[in-house]
Amino acid sequence: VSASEVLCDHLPSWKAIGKLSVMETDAGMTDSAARAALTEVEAGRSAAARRVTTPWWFHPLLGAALAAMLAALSLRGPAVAVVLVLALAAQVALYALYRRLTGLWVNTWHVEGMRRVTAAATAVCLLLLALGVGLELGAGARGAAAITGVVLGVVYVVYWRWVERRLVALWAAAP
Amino acid sequence: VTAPRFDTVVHAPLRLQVCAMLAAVESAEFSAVRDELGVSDSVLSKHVKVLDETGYLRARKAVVASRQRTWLALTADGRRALAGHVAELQRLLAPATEAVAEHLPSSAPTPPQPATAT
Repeated sequence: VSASEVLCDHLPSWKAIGKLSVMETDAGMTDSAARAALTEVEAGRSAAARRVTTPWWFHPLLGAALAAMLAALSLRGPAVAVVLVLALAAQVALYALYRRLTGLWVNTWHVEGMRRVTAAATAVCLLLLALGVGLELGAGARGAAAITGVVLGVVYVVYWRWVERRLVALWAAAP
Repeated sequence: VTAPRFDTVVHAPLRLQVCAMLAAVESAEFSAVRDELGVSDSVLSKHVKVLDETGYLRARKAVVASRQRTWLALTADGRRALAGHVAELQRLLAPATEAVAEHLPSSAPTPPQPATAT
């Protein structure tokens, strides 16, 4: 017993097969149905775009935690360890908060059209980190880690502001 | 470039929305998807189950602050299926778009502008 006989026993087989093919393949898909389906895709992407933007204070706080981590090297004594641990804990807490606030986890490396800027921003951050640590601990330039830490924090905030704007623009665009 | 391929699993309207939302991100929390798409837990669960059984979606449960949260992520197969399906939809629409473009005059007259009140 074929599927067409089971589902449509009141129809001749040529009609039933025609109906099934329309339901189960794209053979009978009309332009308006295809357009409607693409609208569903846009709706899904827009849903992601609506959630991706964080409150204005979020990235500055994370940038400050990042800056404090590097700037801690400019301190002396037990304060170094205390600031390092606090800054690290703040970052972990803020990443958890990001998940709670947005309900999303985004990897900018996997987003088409963002890989080059992400690579550049990562390189700049690593360079600043190396420069700060090298000047402070290697060359003995007191305060160098604090200055590079602040620059690192600013770079981080600028990069993430760009990421959020770009993601909203990308996801709001047609598929 | 993804080959156009109609996918009956992805094609259901809500599943298309879920897949498109998840394809944009690495993962999304169940409640975020539910709230943004405006559906109930049970409706979303049903569609998530279908996608999960097809191997297009991976659901991971995590306990955060003594509350269980479910994170959803599209698998590589799911991303490929969605990309192929979208390519197929665009391919189906392409002849219609081209036909409209062919019938449009190359230099269409500018429509009259409405008068503005001063």
